[in-house]
Amino acid sequence: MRRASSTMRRLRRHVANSWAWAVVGAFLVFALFPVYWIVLIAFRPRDDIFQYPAALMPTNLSLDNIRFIWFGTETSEPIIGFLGNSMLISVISSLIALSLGVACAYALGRFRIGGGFLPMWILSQRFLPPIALVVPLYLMYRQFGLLDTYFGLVILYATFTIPIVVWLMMGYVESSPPELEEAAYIDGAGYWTAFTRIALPVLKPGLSVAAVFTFIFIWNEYVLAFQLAGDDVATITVYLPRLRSAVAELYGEIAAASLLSVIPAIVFAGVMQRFLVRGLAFGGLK
Amino acid sequence: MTALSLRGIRKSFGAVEVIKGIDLDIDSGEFVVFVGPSGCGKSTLLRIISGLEQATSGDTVFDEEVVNDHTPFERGVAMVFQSYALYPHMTVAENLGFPLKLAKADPQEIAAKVKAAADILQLGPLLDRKPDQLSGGQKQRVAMGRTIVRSPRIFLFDEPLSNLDADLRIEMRLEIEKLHKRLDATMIYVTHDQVEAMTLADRIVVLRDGSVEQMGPPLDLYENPVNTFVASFLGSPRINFLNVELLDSDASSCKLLLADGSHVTAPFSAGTASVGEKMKLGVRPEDLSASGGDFSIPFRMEIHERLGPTSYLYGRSGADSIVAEYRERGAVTPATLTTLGVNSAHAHLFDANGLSVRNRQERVS
Ligand SMILES: Nc1ncnc2c1ncn2[C@@H]1O[C@H](COP(=O)(O)OP(=O)(O)OP(=O)(O)O)[C@@H](O)[C@H]1O
Ligand SMILES: [Mg+2]
Repeated sequence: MRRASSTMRRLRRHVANSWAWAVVGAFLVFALFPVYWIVLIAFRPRDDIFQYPAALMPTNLSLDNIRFIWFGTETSEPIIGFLGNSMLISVISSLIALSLGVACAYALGRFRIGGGFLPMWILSQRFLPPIALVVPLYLMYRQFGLLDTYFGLVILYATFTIPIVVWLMMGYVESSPPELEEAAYIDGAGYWTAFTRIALPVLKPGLSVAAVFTFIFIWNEYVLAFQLAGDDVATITVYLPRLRSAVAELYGEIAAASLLSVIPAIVFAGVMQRFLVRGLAFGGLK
Repeated sequence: MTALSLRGIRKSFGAVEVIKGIDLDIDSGEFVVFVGPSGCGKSTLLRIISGLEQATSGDTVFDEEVVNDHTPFERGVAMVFQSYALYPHMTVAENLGFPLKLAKADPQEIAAKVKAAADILQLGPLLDRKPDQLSGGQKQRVAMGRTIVRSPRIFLFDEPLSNLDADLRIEMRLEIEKLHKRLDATMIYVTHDQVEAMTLADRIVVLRDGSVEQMGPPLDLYENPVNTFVASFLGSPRINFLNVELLDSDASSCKLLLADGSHVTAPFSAGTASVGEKMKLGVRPEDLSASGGDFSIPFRMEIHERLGPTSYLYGRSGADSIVAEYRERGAVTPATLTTLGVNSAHAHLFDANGLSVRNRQERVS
């Protein structure tokens, strides 16, 4: 959704061509319609949802679906617990991935540790689709008692997102001038101080991009969360499909839950974007 | 007293040797300028002195103490980078105070020193700004301010003015000169601008390909260049080279064959050069004149460039292109000017390898 709207803005600036508008318009309808539909039926009373033919415009407003999801029922727990799990796991894993990843990217990008080989090797960790690792991971996790624990999911997600952070941040490290840290060494800073007090603040815009990436990756991850956890520790992605299988045809409720589950991700990306813009303003070194 | 000695400094990056054995002593309070063409190793040498780069071999000695393994901070150097390298997330005051803050000075002392530095460089009104709110010249001032808050043992400047426009460059050049006088500090300054080198230096070190070509006070190098490289590096417009052949030489004069076939007698010795040797006669633009001189050379004028009281005459003498300085105010008609007089006291004769015959003589004797 964000992508589509920013594409539109850019195009408005450059192309004043009605054909382009028609194509973009069609694409937007295509991309945004499902989102619109989710919002529509999340607030629609049960009877209206199953009306045929379906009404494309808002009909009667109802908060039943939201209420069902928010307060839960005998068969379904309130959504807040799952949102909380997802939030906790996403934030902690992202923080771990970002702090280890940026340190690693700095070492690779600034001091050429590992030559040309190590960065590629790190990225190669992500060549395998996660599903390929599920069985060995399951066995390992069972052995170590990590199944269905916060700790298990956190180290899993941190490990999975570190390569992305490293690669993204390496680009930022390489394009930021080493003279800044050299000036700091001359001013009496050691490597650590130069890294934390000079390099990190300069890398902030990159860090906020990496934070958005990792947070959203983890927030949306389903396969591993479903296989390696899901009972005591269930994330929002595990919760959503459950609504479907528990009792048939809870479309309005699923729509309401989906709506509530994207809100934190959107808020997070929005906050990070503010950081990003401020960070870029710093960028003018010369 | 010697503030800094370099002894047999060599530096290789991989298989490429970029500094090829440099020995140099710098007195305390001296202003030394490294000049040379791009890629000759000026920055590398400066970085070795600063401690940011390790020499492959050789010793760096500060005040009689070998500092090869010391960090830049332990060496007590301060450096101004070409890109200024101001910390973009800190205000000007924080930039200036950063070294003191790292040294855990108390806040009052930091504030006092920052203020003192800001006063010297007229940075007072800018103290609360971030670097991206400063002009090029202001950034330059802040970068210099950051060096002086610490009273370092040696100041290092790596082409600090090359990002500024011409007027600002002159202004900042004077500023640096004042700073040097005021602080009585040892300064090493890298540039490839020969005007900066000539005006700032107590001593110029001309580098080429990682070796020292010549070093000495600016006017010494200007008047007695050891080879054509140094001769053409200093002075603007550049020195002229005339292709000549040695016809005869004795202890006090020599006879030269010019490219157009005319003979001239110059009142200096050609040293050990042998008769028949192809040589180059170096004459600076200000040693050529429309009339007078000890001997004259043919000249065909192409352009008269008037700059005010002095102007330049561009043209050819045979196949060699020539620039002459012209100090009279009237216009020059090309037709009336067919020769230029040479003030031979300042002319230089170089042998086929580009070495000055005076220098060759000294080396031989
Ligand atoms: N880190 C490095 N790795 C490999 N080669 C390097 C490195 N730094 C410098 N060099 C090489 O060493 C030589 C000298 O570089 P240096 O930067 O000292 O030149 P310079 O005289 O300062 O030139 P300029 O006037 O362009 O700044 C150049 O050929 C350069 O390519
Ligand atoms: Mg350089």
